[in-house]
Amino acid sequence: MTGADHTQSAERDPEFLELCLKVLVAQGAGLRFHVALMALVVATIAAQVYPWWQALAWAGMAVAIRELRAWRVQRLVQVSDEPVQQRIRRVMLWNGALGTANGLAALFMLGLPPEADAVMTLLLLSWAAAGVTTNATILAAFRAYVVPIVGLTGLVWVLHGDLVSVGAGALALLFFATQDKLARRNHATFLESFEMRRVNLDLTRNLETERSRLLQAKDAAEQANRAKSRFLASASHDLRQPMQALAFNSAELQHQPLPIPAQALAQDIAASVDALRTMLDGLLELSQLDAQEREPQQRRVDMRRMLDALVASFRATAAAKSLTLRLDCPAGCAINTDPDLMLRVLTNLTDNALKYTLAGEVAIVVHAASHGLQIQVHDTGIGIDAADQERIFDELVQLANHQRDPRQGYGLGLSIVRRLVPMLGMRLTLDSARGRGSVFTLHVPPDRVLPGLASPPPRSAAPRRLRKGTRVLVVDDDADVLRAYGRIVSRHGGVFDGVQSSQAASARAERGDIDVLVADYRLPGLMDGLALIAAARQAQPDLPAVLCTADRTPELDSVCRERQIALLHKPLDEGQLLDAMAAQRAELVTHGD
Amino acid sequence: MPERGSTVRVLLIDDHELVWSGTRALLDRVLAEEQPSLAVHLVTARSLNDALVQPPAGFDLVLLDYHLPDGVGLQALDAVRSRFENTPVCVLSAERDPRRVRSVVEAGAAGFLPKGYSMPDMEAALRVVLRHKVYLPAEFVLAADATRDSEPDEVPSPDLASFVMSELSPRQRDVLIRAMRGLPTKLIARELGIAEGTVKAHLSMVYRALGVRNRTDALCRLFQAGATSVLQLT
Repeated sequence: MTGADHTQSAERDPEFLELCLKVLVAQGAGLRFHVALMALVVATIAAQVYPWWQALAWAGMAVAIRELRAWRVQRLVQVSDEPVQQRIRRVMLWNGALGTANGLAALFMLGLPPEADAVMTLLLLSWAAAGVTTNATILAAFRAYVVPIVGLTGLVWVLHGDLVSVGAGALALLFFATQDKLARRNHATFLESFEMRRVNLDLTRNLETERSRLLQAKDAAEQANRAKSRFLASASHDLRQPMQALAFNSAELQHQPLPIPAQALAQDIAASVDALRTMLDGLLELSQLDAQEREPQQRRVDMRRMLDALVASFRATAAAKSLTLRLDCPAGCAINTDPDLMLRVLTNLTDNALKYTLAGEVAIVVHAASHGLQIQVHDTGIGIDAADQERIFDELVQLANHQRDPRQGYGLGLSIVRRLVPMLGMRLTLDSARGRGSVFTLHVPPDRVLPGLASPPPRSAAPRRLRKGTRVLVVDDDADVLRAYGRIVSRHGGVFDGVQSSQAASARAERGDIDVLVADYRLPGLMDGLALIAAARQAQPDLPAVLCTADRTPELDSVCRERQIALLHKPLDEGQLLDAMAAQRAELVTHGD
Repeated sequence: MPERGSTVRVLLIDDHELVWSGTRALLDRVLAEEQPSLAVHLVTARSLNDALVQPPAGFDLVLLDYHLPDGVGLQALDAVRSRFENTPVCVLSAERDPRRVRSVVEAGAAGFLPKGYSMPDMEAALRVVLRHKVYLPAEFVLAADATRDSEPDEVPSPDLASFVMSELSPRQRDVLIRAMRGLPTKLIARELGIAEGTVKAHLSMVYRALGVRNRTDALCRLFQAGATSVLQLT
């Protein structure tokens, strides 16, 4: 739409016309005494030449018509139910009548002296000029009022006949043209401001409509979602009972003496039941989270203790797939969070990593970052394309499980994680590519990280000892050194096992029943101490290890730091040895007798 | 192992009759593996009112569903505990919100059995329940332990079982076992023929030795340390 279209349409708009009418009436009101005074001045001038009654008769008529018009026009706005155009026509008639009544005063000029004519003209034209402000909203009404006044004034001047008078008459016309132009400009300004107001009003109205529509839609969606969650919660609760019975009975069936084909059937049924149960659990958990029935409760959580137990609970699953499950978390690392929700996040991430890793390792690594703490779950699994990285958090999406093998679960774990992480005030990022494994990183903001026992506990006056029954395997090719180690270990309550070669040591370590490995760096044979520790940790991933060396090489320092191996430089005393073991695993060393 | 007779008498209060026969079969099998000489005698009740007309003495264990048509949660637990006051009561529920587990144990339940367990987990849980009359879900124990304030001089977890067996007096152990099973102090005193104050004194010493402040935490600690075997009555 162009500006002109706007103007035209507005000019015919009844709403606009009604407003014009109202403004016109309002502008004309309250001028009663000014008009009466003006009429009196005109009558006084006329009375110099004409009989006083003639002058007064004109003044009376002008005031009466002004009052009548004011009264009628007021009623047109307030009570009339006529169409607005009709009422505007009436206003025009009234204006014509008033203009004519006022203009008739010009006829006095026929008999007045020229000086009085000039004053009279001035008065009449200023009367006409007042019409610009009072009537400009309706141009036709303005003209109906002004034309008789200016016309009659001009006409009387022309009738005087002399050149100067004709000139004065022309000037009166010119004055009209000027006033008309002014009136048109006022009218246009008024129209524009009306347009603007209407556009703003429309905009506001549209915005409000849109906003309320959006609010309604959001409300409806939220309600639907809550209803869905409530339904799921109650459905999965009710489904649980027959599910439970089914699980009991199918387990029982497997223990009955059955023919071979029936045994296979019973096994399949049990597997299906287990898959169904897992899915039901996930659905119930998701629906509870969506129904927002759970407020996180902040507690001090010892991450090392939580992750130690978590890793222990997944050990069997990892072993069944021949995967290494590794934990790298400083002792005493603590954060402020909801322990239950945090455990669920970590359980689901670890479970997910183990599920999608066929070979290699899954590692949980906790370390301080520039901003807070990072808890990472690394895997050497199938990895995820960038394009799929958002999708894996959706319900029931399993990228690598096209046959939907029920043993892999139903892809609810990561959707649960996605809901839990914001509840904990944390952030989860994913770094992965197909074939390169994945790293899920949980970012713990600094205000959640609690001052932990990052440094080893201070030495207390109480004598320290090894945890009762701690099995310490020491590898050193020097028999005397080995005996010295044996005395230290035994005196502190540990169980000592000493060997002189890396081969013997790795054979021991493979049994997986030692608590600490202490190895000399330079060993005869194929493996040095570092390689021996690496081999032992294949069998026992978190095995605390202490490496002793006489060499002072920065390379060895950094390798040991990276692999979480305690490095001791010879000569060493028993305090250092206990320190190193405590740094590897705090609970290995206790205070007391 | 059982305190009486050659049968283990279990009262199952659950309005879902569907689970009755399965539970019975499972209990039978678990007990047959544990103690072939014993048999489970399972009495079932589909409501609180049905359960409360059973004779108050004579059960070795009560299994109580959290949701019953005529009584829910802690209210039902209170009613059942005061009727069968000498018997450990384990609560069963499909919802294992840690707050629910804690509230149930704090109200004196001997344990909490999640209904959604897989069969191997359920069997393992029932084995513990039949043997020691207590149970806590592993994830509850794990989360609770991660928030526990550990004392620098507390007994390390791997040593806890041997500590209880060798360092506690037989009397202290008797008190601990009964407290863990949810028996009220008054009844423990009566059963052991000692004063209530003595029972309380024993308990506070035992809790301090375990590095815990109350019964729920003590039960958690025993489960976390894998030391439930010490809860066996001899």
